[in-house]
Amino acid sequence: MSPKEAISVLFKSCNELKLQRETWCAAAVYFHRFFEQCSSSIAYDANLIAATCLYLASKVEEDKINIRNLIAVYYSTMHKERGEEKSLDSLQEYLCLKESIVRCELLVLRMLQFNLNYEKPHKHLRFYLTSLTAWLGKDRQIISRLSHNSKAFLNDFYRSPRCFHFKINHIAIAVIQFALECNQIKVPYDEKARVHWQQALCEDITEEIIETIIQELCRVYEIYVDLSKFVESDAYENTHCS
Amino acid sequence: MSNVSNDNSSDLEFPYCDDVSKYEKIAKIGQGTFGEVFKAKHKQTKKIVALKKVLMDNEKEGFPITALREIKILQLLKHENVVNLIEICRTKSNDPKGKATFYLVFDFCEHDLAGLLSNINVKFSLGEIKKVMKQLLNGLYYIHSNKILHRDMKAANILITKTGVLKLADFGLARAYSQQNKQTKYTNRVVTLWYRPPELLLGERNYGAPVDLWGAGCIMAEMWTRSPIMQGNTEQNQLQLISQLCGSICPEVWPGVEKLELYHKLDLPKGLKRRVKERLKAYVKDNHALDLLDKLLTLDPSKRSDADNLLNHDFFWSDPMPTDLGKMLSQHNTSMFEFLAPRRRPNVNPQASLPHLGHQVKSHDGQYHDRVF
Repeated sequence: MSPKEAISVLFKSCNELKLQRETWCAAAVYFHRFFEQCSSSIAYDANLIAATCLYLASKVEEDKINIRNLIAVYYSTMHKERGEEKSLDSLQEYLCLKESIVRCELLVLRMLQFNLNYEKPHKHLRFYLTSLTAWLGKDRQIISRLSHNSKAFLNDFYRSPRCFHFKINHIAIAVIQFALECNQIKVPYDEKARVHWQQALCEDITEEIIETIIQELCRVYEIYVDLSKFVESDAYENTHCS
Repeated sequence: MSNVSNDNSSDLEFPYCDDVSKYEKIAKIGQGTFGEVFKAKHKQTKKIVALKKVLMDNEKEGFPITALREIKILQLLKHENVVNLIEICRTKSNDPKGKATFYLVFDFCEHDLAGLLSNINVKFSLGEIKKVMKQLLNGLYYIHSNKILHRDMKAANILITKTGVLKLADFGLARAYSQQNKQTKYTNRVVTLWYRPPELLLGERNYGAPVDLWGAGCIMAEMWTRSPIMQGNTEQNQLQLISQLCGSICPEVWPGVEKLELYHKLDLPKGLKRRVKERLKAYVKDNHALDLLDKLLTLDPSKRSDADNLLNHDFFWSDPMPTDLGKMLSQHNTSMFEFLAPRRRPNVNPQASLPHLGHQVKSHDGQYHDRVF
């Protein structure tokens, strides 16, 4: 399986394991950094790397999961992705996979140079949304849709292999802008404002940066929009709303 | 997912994680539940470093979460008074299982405070003690403002370079904490017994920065007494020693203490008066110092001052002002570490010499460590 498919399985497993969004995000960043770092001549098993990154992220984020549970969920999710119903029943196979993950973890740690601190954009997003919704008036429906969509966009953005190249506050602003556009919401008085809401919330952001991030996000959707599978993704509800 | 092949794994190159063989081990300088620490020299640059072996205690769960915490925290903390992590190295894996050993590589510090205090030839002036405490509180202020708890304050974890710069070390028990989340439950099995604050001894699971400040108070007193001031044998005994110094633990001085898990289960001495200043006066002649100690060794964690406040204390702003330790340390040109020093004898001060209370667990000679996660 390619890295693209593995990241799909990774996210679905996160959902199944009820992990915090920050853990999804860290796991995805480790995964993308790993593949950017490694030379393309070596074919790593993307699913093994993804499961390992998830295990590592759960430790780093103190969102601890049982390795047995992780392997079982990842295994069945992966097979579901391939259109098979299969659960991990053989003890032998489980022990083998566990050994692989434990070993692979050391490889991943070395590849990442033990740099495991990645600040997550979620608190920026929450803060920006709170500031912005104060401007948007009292329509609860609009506000909840905006918040729901931007959170989903943020999550999906981490499918992009380039996700960690952007500043986290920029990502947060860009997903809000995209959610505003999708819902055709206008920030009141923004057209006449000397400082637009984007710069008011985040000083060093530019239109170009926002545009690049949105394009990257759209690329994610182009890749993952296979309508048969789309229904399960976060993005489904987003397009549904716009 | 497939199995990673481990044939020829010893030939693998890891360009992003150097081989530890670029350092040459000189001597072992530490040993504890955390693993071994070595002094080593970079073969090319001749730079002296400390190598701390990552103990792969629970291999089945992969890389230990405690080591991950320590690495994550050390990468985050960059401050003059916090030990500096240079890099992480690994060995060429030549064991049959193909697994490497990892080492944390630190800037080398010549002494630790426990080692210095156990050497009677090392004499601290009042100005020098102030400098030690100022750096200690500066370090704590920095880590606490980064939302990190050290959780293992003790003299052996306070390193001092030969030029007299203090560094907080051993973040093996440290972890991030939050002030907002009131539901958090951390393990209370942290901090070496002699430096463990009353709230932890009583089973508090939602603690914060004050746990480190209690330890700082114990360390400060030790600057004069030269040995740990409360050397309990058991948790119960430790609480008794604390009560004899700081007065009885009761809701009058510490509202809410009755809600702590172990408050009613343990037999706490009643009717004791607080005698911190009185008892330490025998060693500490400076009034500002006594007042600062009194503020650090406060029973109620919510009333214990924080590092920021304490740095404004008159102790640091009255004569003699804090003086550099470099000159005093330059008279000593051998490293002093607790590990290398002769064992410090317990019961060398009046507070530790308590009447024996029935059956007691044997003292672990300061190495008492709980590591339950």
